[in-house]
Amino acid sequence: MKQYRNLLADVGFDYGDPDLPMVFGSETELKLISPSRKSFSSYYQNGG
Amino acid sequence: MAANNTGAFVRDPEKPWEREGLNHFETEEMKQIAKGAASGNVHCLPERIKNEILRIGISPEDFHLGQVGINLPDGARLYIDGSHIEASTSECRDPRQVVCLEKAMERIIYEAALQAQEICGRQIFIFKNNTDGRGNSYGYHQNFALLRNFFEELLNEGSFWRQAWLSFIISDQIYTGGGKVGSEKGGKECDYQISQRADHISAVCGHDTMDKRPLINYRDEPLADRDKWGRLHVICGDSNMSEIATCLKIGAKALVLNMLQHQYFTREKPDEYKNLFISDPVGAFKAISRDLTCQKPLLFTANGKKSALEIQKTWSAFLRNFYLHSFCRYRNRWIGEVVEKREQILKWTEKHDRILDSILDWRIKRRMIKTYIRTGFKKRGQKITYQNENVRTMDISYHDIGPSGLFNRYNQLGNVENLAGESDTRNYMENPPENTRAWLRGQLIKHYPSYLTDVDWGMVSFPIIIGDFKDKIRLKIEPLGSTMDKVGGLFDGTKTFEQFCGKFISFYLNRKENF
Repeated sequence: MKQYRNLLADVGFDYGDPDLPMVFGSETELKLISPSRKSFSSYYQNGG
Repeated sequence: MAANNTGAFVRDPEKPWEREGLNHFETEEMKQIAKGAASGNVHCLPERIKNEILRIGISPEDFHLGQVGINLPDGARLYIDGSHIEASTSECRDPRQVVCLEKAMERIIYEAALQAQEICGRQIFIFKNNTDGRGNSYGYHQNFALLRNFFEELLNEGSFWRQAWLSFIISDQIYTGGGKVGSEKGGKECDYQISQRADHISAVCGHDTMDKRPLINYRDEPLADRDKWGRLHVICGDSNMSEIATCLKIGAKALVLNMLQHQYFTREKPDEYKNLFISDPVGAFKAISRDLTCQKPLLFTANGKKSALEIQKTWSAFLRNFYLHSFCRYRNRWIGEVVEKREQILKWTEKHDRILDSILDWRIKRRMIKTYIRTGFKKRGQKITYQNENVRTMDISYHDIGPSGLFNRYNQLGNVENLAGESDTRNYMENPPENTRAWLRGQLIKHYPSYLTDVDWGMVSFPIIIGDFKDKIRLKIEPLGSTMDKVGGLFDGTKTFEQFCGKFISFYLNRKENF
């Protein structure tokens, strides 16, 4: 436990801090398509 | 795909789904873009984002930019990686921040795409999903900053932590899955499955993120002090349109990792912990994806066969025990919300409750498709199957980030439970989280973009100009080092860059800890 406290302190977390000692985030890859009318389904053209 | 007379490949416009045919820099304009990217001299104005999106929006398949990065005032980063746009949120400490930053990014990209449409005269669609249904996948990567020792233990073959972690990430798809019509990559045939990524995962662990994708990715790029930090890069999860699913996906993992990092199971070993030893995790991941009841005993554990729901309920008990007892010192409101919302969703899953059709992506999408199939049969008397082209299009257009996207249209009608309001989204289009290093990065980008010579996750570079004195600094920033609490004074009452430099030097010389 003492080692854990020291490691937390080492990266800047205070063991007594009421905030969860975690930092996180996300990366999203988004697909971009600019289709010709013929190749894409008619779904969009029909409006549902 | 065909070769033109310059030897460069051009795409067949009739086959927009094909990934082949990415060209390298052929035009003078593209060479200039490549040169700018290589120099790392990234300008940070929002207009630049739009310009970059405009460039790929005009003809996204015709060139390969490599990585062109744009840093945003909210501390996030947007870049062009091959044929796709990649958007990273800034560093967060609350999963609702991730939700808001993702929504803000969707808004920024969509607005840029609208401009691109006006110029090129063609519709542009941008999808936040993970597969084109033709065997190609693109990722959604979750990142967690861990203590270095724990990070190394977690990746260690045979470690208990790794087994426990695997049991969680293969079964949390029952509330985080994006939903997918059919199967890919030679996977067992099915009409519909929970996870978009399951067919694209083929290894328990490994370095690869493009071909032999693993459940546990060995990437070791802490983007911070390597002696202290490890960044866990989770690549097996799906993108979500549902805000609740995004929040639970990130929040529950953060809670599990913190619990493991805190050595929970070395102090307490309840009997149920044997449920966490699962054989053939890759096979189990794919099997769970095809079990739409979430309750078939498909997982072989040290305690016998269990379902994904049972494994997640086991984790619920651990999480409740660790976080919700009276002497838990963590007081973040989101912790209780994530633990309880997750438990509620598991209860609804057990009862096959239809309320999940307005919360979870894979359930919302399945309901839409089932409705389409049923009404199509009623109206025309035709039997519509999951192989129908319109059903396949629905599968993809659910994830369109524009207002015509199926999820967004359904949401507009008030049918979906949300977390991020309009004001939150607008706020995170311009402002970074205050409690991580993203704050300093975002403020510098917001106030002094033209002075920044380089910006990266763990570093900002800028000149120091005070009267005749000129120097430059490459400032390393640690995940918790440059929060608003710690360096907010640098911007208070500062009107010019020179004034900022004066304050910065004074602050830098008197600092008690690293940035």
